[in-house]
Amino acid sequence: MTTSKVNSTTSLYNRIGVLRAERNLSRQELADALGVNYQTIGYMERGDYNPSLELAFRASEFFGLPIEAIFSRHPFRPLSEQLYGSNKPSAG
Amino acid sequence: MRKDLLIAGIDFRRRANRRLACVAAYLGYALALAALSLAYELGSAAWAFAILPGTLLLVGGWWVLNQVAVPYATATIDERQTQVRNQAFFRAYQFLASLSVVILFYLKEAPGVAAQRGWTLWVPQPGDGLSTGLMLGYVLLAVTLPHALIAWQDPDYLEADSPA
Repeated sequence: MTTSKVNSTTSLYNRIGVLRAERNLSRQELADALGVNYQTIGYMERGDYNPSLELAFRASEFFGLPIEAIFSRHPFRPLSEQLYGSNKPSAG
Repeated sequence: MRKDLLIAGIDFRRRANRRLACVAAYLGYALALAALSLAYELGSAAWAFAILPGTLLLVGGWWVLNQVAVPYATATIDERQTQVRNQAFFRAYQFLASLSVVILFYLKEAPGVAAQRGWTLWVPQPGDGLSTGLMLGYVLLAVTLPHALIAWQDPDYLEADSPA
């Protein structure tokens, strides 16, 4: 799962879950690194909580990625599709 | 995952069970108050024993609500928990402030309305057991309402919220 959504009025999608899995981190480890409770990581991954700007910056610094690579107001395309989507094998 | 919320074989990580604890606490108070009032009115000590089930429900429910709110009462809560706690206290304050206005209005107007229209309206009297019970209930509500709101609103604490 690469994206999550809060609700229709305050939509914020994120890639916290996939980035954490990529780096083989537990919720507790990521929570300790970001200075939050591990449950808050779960809430963010499910899209039940929108982080503050400060927490978003901390996540950006921790993952070494720009904020827009982690959070978006629009659904993310799956990473596999972004990487290989244009290289579909031809039918013939 | 909050294993401290597995109490007496009941999983209070589930919101439905937490809501039952909220209902049990306030229902327990109502039962205890009703039994106490009857004991006072009838002057019978036997009614006093009827207080016991209500009191047990109240104390049990209250204890569960306190357990649920433990993480929100520590100094190291994060921004999401602070938001949840502040919202619960704000809503509890709104409710209690509104309730206070209604009570004060009733206490001010009830005697006059009762005399004018010939109605029988209850108003607190000195040494009145019911008014003492209601006052204690107000204090109890003020103390427990923020916890109850958190327990009522927090979603299920899922396996997905485990530290792993």
